[in-house]
Amino acid sequence: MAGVERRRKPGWHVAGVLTGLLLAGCAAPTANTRGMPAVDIDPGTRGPVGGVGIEGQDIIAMTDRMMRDMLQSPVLANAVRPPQVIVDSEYFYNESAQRLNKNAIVDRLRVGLTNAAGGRMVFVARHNADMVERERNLKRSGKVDVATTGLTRAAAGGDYRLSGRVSSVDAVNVRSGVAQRYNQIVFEMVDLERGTIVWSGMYEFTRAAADDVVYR
Amino acid sequence: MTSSIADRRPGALAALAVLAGGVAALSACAPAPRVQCDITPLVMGEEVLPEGPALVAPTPGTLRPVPLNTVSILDSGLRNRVLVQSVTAGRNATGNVEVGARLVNCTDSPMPVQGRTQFLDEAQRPSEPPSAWQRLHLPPRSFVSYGEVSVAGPRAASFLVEVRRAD
Repeated sequence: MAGVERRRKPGWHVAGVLTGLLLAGCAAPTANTRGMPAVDIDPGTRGPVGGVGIEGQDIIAMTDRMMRDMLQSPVLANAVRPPQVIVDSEYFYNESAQRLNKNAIVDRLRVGLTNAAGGRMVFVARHNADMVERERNLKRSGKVDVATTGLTRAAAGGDYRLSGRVSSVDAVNVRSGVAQRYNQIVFEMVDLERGTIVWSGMYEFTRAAADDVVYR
Repeated sequence: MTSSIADRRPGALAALAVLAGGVAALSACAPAPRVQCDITPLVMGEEVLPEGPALVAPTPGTLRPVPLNTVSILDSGLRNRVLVQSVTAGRNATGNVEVGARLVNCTDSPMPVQGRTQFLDEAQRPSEPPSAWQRLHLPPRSFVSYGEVSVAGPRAASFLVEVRRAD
């Protein structure tokens, strides 16, 4: 009999532990926050998530501002012979406190310029230089034909190239937790022969918030 | 038996009353702000639509004509707080249209607003996409200039500036 009792005791212990775990689970339910259905948002307007940094509506506003301003420049948009310009992020630096994809700014600026320039400027795809070089080599080696637009002695060079810098100045009130950031984005077009600046533009704003927002 | 201050010092109470009256009179004499707005014509519907091109609905009577080459304030709550003082436009050396509008903040508080411009061709089709919303900070009782420029060259023939409350 004693052996039978010894065999039964562990079973009761296991059941007790399981019951305890279940009760503990009931006593401390996971606090799930209420979800939010997906909504489409006008990209030019701030959405439900916003912080003190550069956001989508800022990128749209700044690139539109720079595009319009650049197309009023006599040097860039009213030259007798359309200048060849390079608009990429190679010399566009992010020195701000925010993690930021520079291409989101530069790509939108280039697309806006390309669509609006209407031949007044020629855009050199330096960000695709490898792709162009590979095709040129294939054509010249005879592995592919010369296509329809003919061969050129060399790929296009640039008269002007975009440079710029994103900077920020942060301040935080340690008592209230409110953060404030001054954001400054500078755009410049540099003469690639003389090294002079032929056009420049700046977009700046200051924003304060106490929300927990992570930019990534 | 207790006695009131008036019973004990009637002269002091009279002096206080005179002082309070003087302060009230001085505050009433304080110069009013230089910028004073009167929105009565807007409230009473006496706004006169300017002559010239306007956006109209294909079905008559369904849409009040929206005059072009003007500023349209989109938020009803903004219409009695921000007024348009002037609208200007002209072509620059590149053939694009430069638009300018001067806005007035009629309130005693800062007013953040946003403005954008839609440029239209002769047939009132968009000559280019609308400009991005541009943020403007209007200090109390102050003027701020909004400016925009088209990029489609001679295609832009008219425009409509839209102003809304900043988010």
